[in-house]
Amino acid sequence: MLTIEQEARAPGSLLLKLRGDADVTGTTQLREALLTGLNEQNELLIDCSQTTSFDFFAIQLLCSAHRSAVVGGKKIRLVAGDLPTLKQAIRATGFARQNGCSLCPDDDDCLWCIN
Amino acid sequence: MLDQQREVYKEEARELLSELEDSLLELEESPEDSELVAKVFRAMHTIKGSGAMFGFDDIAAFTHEVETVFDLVRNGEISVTKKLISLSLEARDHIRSLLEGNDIDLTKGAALVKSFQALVPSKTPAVEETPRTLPAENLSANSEAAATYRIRLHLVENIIFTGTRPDALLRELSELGACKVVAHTHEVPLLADINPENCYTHWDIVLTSTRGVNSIKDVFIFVEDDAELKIDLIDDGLSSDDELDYKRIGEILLDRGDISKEELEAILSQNKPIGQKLIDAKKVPQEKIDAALNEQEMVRAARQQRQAQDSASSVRVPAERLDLLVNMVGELVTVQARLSQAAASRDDSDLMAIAEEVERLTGELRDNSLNMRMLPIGTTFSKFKRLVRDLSGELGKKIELKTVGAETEIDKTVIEKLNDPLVHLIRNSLDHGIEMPEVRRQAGKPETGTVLLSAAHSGDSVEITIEDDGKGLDREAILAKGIEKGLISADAHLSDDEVFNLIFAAGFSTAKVVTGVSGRGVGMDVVKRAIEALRGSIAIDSRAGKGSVITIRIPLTLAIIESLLVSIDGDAYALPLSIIEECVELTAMDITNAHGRNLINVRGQIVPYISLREEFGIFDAPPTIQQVVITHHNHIRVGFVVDQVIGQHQSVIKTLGRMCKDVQCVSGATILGDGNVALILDSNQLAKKAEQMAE
Repeated sequence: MLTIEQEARAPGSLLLKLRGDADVTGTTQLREALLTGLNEQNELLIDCSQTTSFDFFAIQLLCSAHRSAVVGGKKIRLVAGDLPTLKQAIRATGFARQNGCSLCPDDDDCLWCIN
Repeated sequence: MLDQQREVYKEEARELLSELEDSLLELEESPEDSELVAKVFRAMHTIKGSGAMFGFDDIAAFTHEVETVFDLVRNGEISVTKKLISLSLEARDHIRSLLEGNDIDLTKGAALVKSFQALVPSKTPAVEETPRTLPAENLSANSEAAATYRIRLHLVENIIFTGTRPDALLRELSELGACKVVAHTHEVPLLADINPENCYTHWDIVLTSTRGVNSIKDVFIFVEDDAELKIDLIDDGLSSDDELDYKRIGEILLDRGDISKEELEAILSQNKPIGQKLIDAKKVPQEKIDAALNEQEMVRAARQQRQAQDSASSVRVPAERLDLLVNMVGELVTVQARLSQAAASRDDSDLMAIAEEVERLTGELRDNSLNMRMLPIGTTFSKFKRLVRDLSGELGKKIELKTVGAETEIDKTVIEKLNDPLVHLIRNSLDHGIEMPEVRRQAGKPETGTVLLSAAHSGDSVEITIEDDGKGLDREAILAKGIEKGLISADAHLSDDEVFNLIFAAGFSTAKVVTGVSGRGVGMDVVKRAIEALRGSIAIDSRAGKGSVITIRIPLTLAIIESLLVSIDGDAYALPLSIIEECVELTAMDITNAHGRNLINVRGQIVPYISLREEFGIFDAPPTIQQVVITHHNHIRVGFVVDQVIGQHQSVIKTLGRMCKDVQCVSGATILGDGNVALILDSNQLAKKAEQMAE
């Protein structure tokens, strides 16, 4: 089960700590947190260090959040995004990429540009 | 027929077990390497499957237990630990003993089975396991051609209601073979509009698999009505053309229907990489370019692998047949020399032309047949990794073995004979050279000592060095022992080299405690004799506190050597060409100027020489002008005085036989073109005499 903790950072920046399994059962709750966070802040940090697994729906939702941030001129970043579980999940679901997408051509900002 | 097949299985299993040992040792270093895990699993799987097929039921049943554990490792359910590696290495040894039918320890086998079973979660070791006969597994799947498919997958948005998880489908697909997946995300809505339980993503997948298109279709069997699925065969894995290259990116995109022909042609007229042009022109999104690049890469990789497999195909030939071939080629070389000599003496241009042609062909045949017996020395090196691992544990030391030049090729016979001396030298380095971890720490060295084993070609020889970063040889202890053993006098002034060479004397050992590893003092002289029996040489260099380097030089082959023919009192002798630097004249004047000492001045350098006439007890008057053949031996130059230098010769080495085994200074014989026999001089022995003379 997914639990989300919020932690205010520097002004305009919010940290979302995801604990447990990030799967389809928790995506409604995750969507709400992401939507509110992006509406109210300029920067959203997602801490995945306590996330035990990611399924396709969670990754697709993070992708949607990232696209929304780019369109709204805001920032979204993964903290501890080099975790093996996350890397493995984004490779398996085909999200891993070498270059950013059409919405976000800057490779450094893309959530899924991993080596 | 079955016996023959069983023999083939045994041969293959031996190779697999040797590879398995290497892989396990590598895996210990990199426990996260999934390719190594897969390699170990495949080796176990093949040993088991083929074992069952050829009636090695005990091997199949035992290996099954190990394979089960590695299957779990492969799936990430168990991690690689030092304990698992140690158990697996023991299991490998047990399989080897079952295979050879020697030293089979059934109690140990049963204990190993229990240990492996205990590693399997939820499986407790059975009190008594009756050996099972496993069905011969379908190994043909591996030998089937690996075809590459392009798969395009669109799932309906509400796929979750069918109970299907897209990641499960993709995972199942990836289990069929090497797979690259690109998700197309441009249809994923923004957060405000997304239903997070819907699937907005579609995929381009490239899969290389031996399992056939039906296996791919089977993955999607439950979503047939809820998915748009397109599977195209893009490489059948069978085409034997040498064409490695695959379609260009533009062609792939056209093929996939991602771009029209007109659009492609318009874009191609610009001077940029096609992918970049298409992205810039917003004709094709980045994901589609990535998918096309994946396809190109996968097909090229599959074709490359196929080509490598084709070129690696080999025929198994028993070693005795190769030895026989080399012997016959040796005879042919001798006959060819006779033919060349006969043709030259007849002054017949036609015959000369034929003789030259035969000479050229014989040379090629000789090189090719000798090459067939060449094996990479790495096969021996890999055994030492295990030796170092086990011994360092036994000695309580931390030691890493590094190897360089494992691909260096050397004659099979030489490799076999080199094994024991190398084992001894490495054991010595581990036992006497590398210090205990706390001693190393106090000396400011890393706790883990290093032994570097390297091999490299050097002319027609191979140079093997064993270098350690241990404490080095104790000069004073060796000197004291040498005096105690009566090898040198108490007042002798010896150079470092001379002191270090004392360790090669029979019965010499400075070890205070006799250990099971080394220190019985029966080693280094035996090592030296073994190396010299291979017509090689051994040298040692050491620095206190820094470590030692042992250098072995051995000829590439024991069958045929390039030599220099010389004559002494009408008889021909051969000297290995590899040690010869130059030939200079020795006149009566030179001898007089040396005042009775056997020394010659070669361009300002004094070189000691040995008169072979004197050595062989020939007391007739020598010619007025003699020749000195200058050779190098472990960085020392030594001259051999002969009557005449005849010229270069390919000498097929014949042993002298048991009757002459104690003859010194001669290592073999060869037959010349005129049918006469020339003795091959043992340069090591002769050089040793020259050194003693110089003292």
